[in-house]
Amino acid sequence: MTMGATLFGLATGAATASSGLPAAVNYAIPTLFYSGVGQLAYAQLFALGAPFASVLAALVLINLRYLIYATIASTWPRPRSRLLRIVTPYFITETSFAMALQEPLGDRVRFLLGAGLTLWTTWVVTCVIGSLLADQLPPLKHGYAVPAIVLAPILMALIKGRLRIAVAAVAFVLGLVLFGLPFRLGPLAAGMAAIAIVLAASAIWERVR
Amino acid sequence: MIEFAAVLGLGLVLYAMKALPFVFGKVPQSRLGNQVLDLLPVGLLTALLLPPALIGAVQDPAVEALLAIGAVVAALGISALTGQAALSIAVGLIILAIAETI
Repeated sequence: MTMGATLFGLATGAATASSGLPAAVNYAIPTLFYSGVGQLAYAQLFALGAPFASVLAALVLINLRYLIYATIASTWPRPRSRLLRIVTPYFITETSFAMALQEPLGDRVRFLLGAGLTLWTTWVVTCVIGSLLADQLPPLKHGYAVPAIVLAPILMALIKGRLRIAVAAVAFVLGLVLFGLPFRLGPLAAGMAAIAIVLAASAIWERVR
Repeated sequence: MIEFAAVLGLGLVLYAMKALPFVFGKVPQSRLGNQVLDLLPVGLLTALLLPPALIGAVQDPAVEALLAIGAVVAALGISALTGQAALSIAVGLIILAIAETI
């Protein structure tokens, strides 16, 4: 999993550095945001001179999925320590969340923290290296395929049972249709709509049968 | 300094979006709610990972697009058939690396 974080960290660090942000911000942003897409969006909006309110709105919309991941994670047994409760959500990302899902319910938060810490370290280090080597790194031509490859085993492990297979199929089709929605809201809308459609179809099927 | 303060403020907002549900969240338990929470990861991850890979590949030249799609399909297929996570990621990334060199 760190392979994917490394590739994206290098590419994101290089892209952020080329946006003209001050060096201190450039090095702090991977830690302060800990959101690759959010970081790229901020760098682009900064380069365009967008006002703060629109940057804030864009970042909130782009990161709405984290709200959902955190809501799902809040149903898992949470650590008793207040400090761990405060620190753990910082490490929620697609990868750490998906990895934690593979674990037994009681171990998920601990796993989220462990995997998250490893991925975060990789992310921050590679972002800084990417920033430093911005002029020398070739652009990643097929970066779009890396998340799907790296998270393929987790996705395939999750797609089990009729309902989940149906949700995956509908989410894929809707994801293609809604891809162009602004602020990267397409996947979020596609995932939620797929669940609504499949649950409604399932309820109708049960009634008819 | 202003840019740093802006990034710090935005970072706090992003953290709050993750922390508030986790620290204080009380999710009402119901059959429908549990079903939705069970299906959300599959729906979100599928929509987040696969369509961008396909759409990104379609915009590339034919050979590179085939290799990029092949890399994703190989990773998914090997995962489904063998359950070997490391093998599926390695094969997928090797095929993608070939596409990068073209």
